[in-house]
Amino acid sequence: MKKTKQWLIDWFKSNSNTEESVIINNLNEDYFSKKWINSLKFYSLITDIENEFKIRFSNDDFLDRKFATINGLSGIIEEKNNAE
Amino acid sequence: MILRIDHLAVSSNNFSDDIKFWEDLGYTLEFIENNLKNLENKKNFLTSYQENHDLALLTNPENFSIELLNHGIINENKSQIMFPVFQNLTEDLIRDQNKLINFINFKLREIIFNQYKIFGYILKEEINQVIKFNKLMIKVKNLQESIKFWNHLGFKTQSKESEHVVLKYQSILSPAEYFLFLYHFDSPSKESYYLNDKGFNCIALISNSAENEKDLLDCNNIFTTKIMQLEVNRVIYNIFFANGPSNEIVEIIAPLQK
Repeated sequence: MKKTKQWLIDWFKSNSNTEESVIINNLNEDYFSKKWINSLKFYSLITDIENEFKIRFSNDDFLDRKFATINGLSGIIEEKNNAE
Repeated sequence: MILRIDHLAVSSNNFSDDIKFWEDLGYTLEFIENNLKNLENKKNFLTSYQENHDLALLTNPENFSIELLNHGIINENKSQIMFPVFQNLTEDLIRDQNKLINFINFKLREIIFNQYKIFGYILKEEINQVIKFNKLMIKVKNLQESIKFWNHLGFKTQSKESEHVVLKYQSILSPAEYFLFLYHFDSPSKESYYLNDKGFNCIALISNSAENEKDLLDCNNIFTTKIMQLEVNRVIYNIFFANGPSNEIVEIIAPLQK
C-alpha cells in the first residue's frame, strides 16, 4: 500500500474510534458521513498532512469532493507532491 | 484553507430584542460572551475602539450563522455595502420598497429590513415556505477584482452578467450552500466600512491556518491586519481581518489545535 494512504489510515486509526479493518474497507467512503471525525479534528488532519508531506492545500483542493474520502485525499496529496 | 463560513456579523445594542428576533426566525442561541476583550487588530475597523465588547452567536442549519456584536457605539454609516437577501420573510418584518431588480436568473425585491432599519432584498418565492437566509449581496466597485478576491477565499463563480455575479460556497464539511451576489455599483470615492456599522458589516470564515490564509492574501496585495489570539466560548482562535477590493470586511478565524 502506498505510503500516503497508509499514513492516512494510521492517522484515522489514532484520531477516531475506528478499527483499522473498518477504515481499510471504507477507503472510498465519506469519512464525515461515517462520523469518524468532527470538524475540529478535521482541522487537525489538514495541519498534520501539510506538516507531514510539506504541502499546502489550496481553497480549490478543499472544494473537490474527493477530499472527503481517504482514497481521494491520498490522490490529492500525491498529485501535489509530484507537482512540487 | 477556508473550511467553512462561520457567521455574518451584525451590530446590536439590544441583545435581548435581537436574540428574540432571530430565535423567532428559527435560530438557536449558542452562547453569549459579555465584556470580551476586543482585539487590537480591529482598531482600524472601528469608528470608536473600546477595550471590551459583547458577542452572541446564533445558528440555524443551512442558513448564515449570526454573530451579534455590541461595540458600544453603532455607526450610522449612510453607505451600506452588505445587504441581506432573504427568502420567505413575512411582510411584518419588512417595508417593501417596490423596486424590483433582475439579478441574472433571480428576481429580487428591494426592502427595508425593519429589525435593523437597513436595505435588503427578498427573493420572489412561493408563500408559506420556511424562511431562508443563505444569500448576501455585496455592492462592489470593481467586479473583476472582487471575483478574484472571493475566488481566493473558495467561492466559485456560478453565473455572470456585465454588472452582476453570483458566487457559491459549499464546504465538504456540510451540504449547505451559500451565495454571494456581487452587484457592480459606481461610486466616485472609496468608502470605508467598520465593524460597528449599522446592520451586517462583516463575513467571517473558518480556516485551518490563519498564517497560510494571510500569506495568500498578502501575496495578492490584499490588505490584512496582523494575527491575534482570542478565546471565545472556551476555544482559542487566531484571528485577522482583511479588506476586499471594495473595502468589505472579512474576518478569518482559525481554531488553535489542541
